[in-house]
Amino acid sequence: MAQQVTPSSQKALMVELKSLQEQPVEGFRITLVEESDLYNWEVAIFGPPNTLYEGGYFKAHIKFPVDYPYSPPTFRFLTKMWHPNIYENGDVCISILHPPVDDPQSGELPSERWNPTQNVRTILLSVISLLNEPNTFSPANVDASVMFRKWRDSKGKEKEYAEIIRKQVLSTAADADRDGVKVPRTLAEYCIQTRMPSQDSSSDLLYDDLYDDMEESEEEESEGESVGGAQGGGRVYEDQDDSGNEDS
Amino acid sequence: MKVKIRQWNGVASWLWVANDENCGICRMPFNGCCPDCKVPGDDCPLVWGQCSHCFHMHCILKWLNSQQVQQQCPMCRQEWKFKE
Repeated sequence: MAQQVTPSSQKALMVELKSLQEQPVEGFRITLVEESDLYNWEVAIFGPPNTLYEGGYFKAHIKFPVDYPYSPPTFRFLTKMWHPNIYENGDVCISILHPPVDDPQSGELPSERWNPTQNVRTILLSVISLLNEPNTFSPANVDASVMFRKWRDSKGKEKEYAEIIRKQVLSTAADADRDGVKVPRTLAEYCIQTRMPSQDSSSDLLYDDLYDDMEESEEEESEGESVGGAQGGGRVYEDQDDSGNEDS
Repeated sequence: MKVKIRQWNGVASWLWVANDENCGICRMPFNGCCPDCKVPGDDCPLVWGQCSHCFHMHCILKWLNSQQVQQQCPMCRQEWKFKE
């Protein structure tokens, strides 16, 4: 291996950020906390329509370690959340954010935990599904967990849990106003309007940096088929060898 | 018409035959190299597991070496064994 000039995490994060800006995950908007710091992301989350969280605008920070993706990032809500799997300080407790050490006390199998093929997309999907489907087997907020179970088991008659969440959701309107954001309320808006136009010029810049030491091979490809070395755009279709990477 | 070839340059090209475009660990193209290397090719090879998943050799070794627990394929979580 050659000597490290920039940590490999930087390249991985650039690729992920570009991909998430071009094809956003529904209900999420991602920006950098500071333009110059790839290791600190700000996430804005829209509450999914037809759930307790409908109309909500929640903010969170994702912090990446320098050895990402070999170690997981942390995910912390800045907006106050009353949820069985979110700590008082906003830290989210999900198994895929925990490194795969052997810890029989935790009740989590090593196989349910972080590995380097997880990414921000899989984390966001885990978080959004966690909101409406808490895991009451390992609560980070025991009071919220007890209250949630009462609400669920009484089929909504014990309203306290739902009321606290609705109150929190309503109070996020002020944040949305301050940020000039219109929160989607219908499924149609949620699915379509959260797509940002891809900021082509700026994200291409990021990508070009990545390849600037490999660019000589470009002049050779005139027929559309890219070959060799650094391009990686040309795909080889091999009939016999189609198993594998999709079936995880 | 007769043509006399005075000079010619041979050009060869290659690519890795993998079942995906990018390495699932470093997210870089297989036809490029892992983020720690500069030059794609034999110095930054691909390896396959018996589960048929493929990674840059450097990427999967870095992951396996950091695991004290079982060594699993990060894609399918089966026990990792190198394909011969």
